[in-house]
Amino acid sequence: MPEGLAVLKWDNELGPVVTTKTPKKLMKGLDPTTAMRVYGIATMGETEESQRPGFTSLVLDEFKLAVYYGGLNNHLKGHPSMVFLVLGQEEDPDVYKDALPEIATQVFLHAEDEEYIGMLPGLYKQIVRYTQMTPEQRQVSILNDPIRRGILRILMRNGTVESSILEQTIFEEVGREIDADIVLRPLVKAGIIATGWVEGLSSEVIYLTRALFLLRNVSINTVRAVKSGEIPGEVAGPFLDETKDFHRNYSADLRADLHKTIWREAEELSQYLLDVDSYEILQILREGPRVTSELPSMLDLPEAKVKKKIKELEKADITVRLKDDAGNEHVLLKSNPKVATVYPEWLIQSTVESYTEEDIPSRQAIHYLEVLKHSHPSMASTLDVGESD
Amino acid sequence: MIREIHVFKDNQILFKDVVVPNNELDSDGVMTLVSTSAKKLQEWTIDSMEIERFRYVYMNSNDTQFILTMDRQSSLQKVEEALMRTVSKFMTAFERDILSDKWMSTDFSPYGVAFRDIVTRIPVKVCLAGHGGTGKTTLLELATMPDQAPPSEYVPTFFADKAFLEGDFAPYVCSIFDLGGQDRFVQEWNKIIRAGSVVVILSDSTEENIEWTKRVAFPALKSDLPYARAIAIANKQDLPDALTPEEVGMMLDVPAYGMQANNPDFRDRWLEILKDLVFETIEFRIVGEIAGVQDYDRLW
Repeated sequence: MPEGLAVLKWDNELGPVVTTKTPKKLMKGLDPTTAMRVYGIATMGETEESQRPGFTSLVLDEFKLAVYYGGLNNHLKGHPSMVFLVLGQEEDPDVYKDALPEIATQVFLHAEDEEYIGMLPGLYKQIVRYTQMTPEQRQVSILNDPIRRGILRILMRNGTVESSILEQTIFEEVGREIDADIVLRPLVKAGIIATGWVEGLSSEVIYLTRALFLLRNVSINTVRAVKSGEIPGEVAGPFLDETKDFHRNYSADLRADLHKTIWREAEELSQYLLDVDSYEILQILREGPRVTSELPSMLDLPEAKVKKKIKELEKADITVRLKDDAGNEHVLLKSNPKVATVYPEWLIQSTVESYTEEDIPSRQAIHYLEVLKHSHPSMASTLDVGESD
Repeated sequence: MIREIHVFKDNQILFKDVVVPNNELDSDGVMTLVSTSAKKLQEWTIDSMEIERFRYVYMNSNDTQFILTMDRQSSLQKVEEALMRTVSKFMTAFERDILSDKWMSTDFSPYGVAFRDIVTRIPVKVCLAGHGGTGKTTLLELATMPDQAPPSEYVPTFFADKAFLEGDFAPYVCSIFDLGGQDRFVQEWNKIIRAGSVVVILSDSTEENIEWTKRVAFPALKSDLPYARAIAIANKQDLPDALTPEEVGMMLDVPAYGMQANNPDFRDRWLEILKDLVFETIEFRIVGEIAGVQDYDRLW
């Protein structure tokens, strides 16, 4: 368990300054000498890479530090630019190499009006939870963030965009000024985007290499259980009818307006996948249907809480509850939310068209086609969440 | 570092406090120019102008012009905040007088205490620059940790160190940055030295070190702190082959002062030199005016 979290900024006259920390009594790692050295380690070098946001860890005599640097841009502007996670000697900083960038990015995105100061205790609590997230949840957390969702929406439409234009578009669409480098680094690390410089363009160019979205699948395990007679017939029939109707309508929505549907779904479904209790229920139901009364003991949760969560999932068309003739309530997956990372094949043709129509600079289009060529897999990949479809 | 304040109304000086005078420009002429410009500003709008190594930050409030003179390279944002505080405090105390005719006979001198308090809030940034092993850390500790014995072995500074010095510098306090002197750290200086008012160039008083300083340190300093004032410290004067301070100063084209940083007896001298440099009462050089490598042959 970490010992604390601190945010630092660089003050030209004072050097590293702690702007906020939690718990308030946290002292370790925050002395001027250590803080100065961490700034040194994080920023050393004249290469472009050394001046970008990045994760570093340090082992000191009595403690360890996991550090996320917000980049030279934030550093020199005197904005919050370093987030320290103070760890005990026995901890492995690398455990936090995915969690800390997430938390730190939230700090940097909420630097205006020092909003992050009030958020820090909550973010600190999230760190431990984040380390316990499944790979699926980590990808969902990208879709749960309105800014990164906005970025993906733009990139899944256009494929490539200049970072300065992206910053402007996000400001117009989400109403928040962002430093693209800070927001995009975790996406680069996740293999979802690539960045590069194109001769003649004044800012870095962003390329989508993998599309990321949330889809609702039919739960094969549930349908198999229903069809094999594991579920009473008075439950099976209505379930199949309701599920069929739902997926027919869902498919129609996707056909009618694919983009609108997937982004609405991303916003809605991501909250259930990131909620600890809802996610545990979902994981159980992905294995197959259950009688509602079994769940509290399986989840080690009070019955009332389980019922509340199931109702929420039902409202989101993820589960359905049906009673058999003996009065037992069965809970089944109506739709199985699933993260999909897909090679954006449709962007090859649209990039060629953009090149022909001169909608984007020709060098940018050619560079993107090269990026797409290098990142091309033989087929689209989806995340393994423990159930085959 | 804030150097002066001038408060004007109807072309008359209501209040002025000069902590470090500007002896290089026609101060009255500059103030007339700046106050004329300040008069045109809208209420609570801040503007600034730069002349040589000075920056004038000014504001107009209730037809009264407030002008802070600062070192050009200090943080503009901090000085602007200081100006806001200055005007706010001034108006809290004297707004009635300013809005009536009483201002012509008001004694504004009590405001000096509040102004100097504001000046104290922005530390004077001092950068100790020089090659590894010239004694920068020893000099930093000599000033800021007087009870500690000088370091017995050389441990290269990684990136930088920093310490506060609250000596006999009122109204200033110094924030002293000891810059890592290994070659690999010199390229990092630009991330550390911004807003430096004062540069102290450390030399171990050898020709080899002076050559390094001119070749490596000066370009970095000139690039980022061209308006800072600099002196050289000819350290290790106790060593038998040490060049004299005069020789070091001549070779570097920067006034040099002799020192033995590893000798606690030199602490008072070091603090005196630093104070004199901050208050500009010793000979110094502006970093951007130090002769370039190509000029040294001519000097000799």
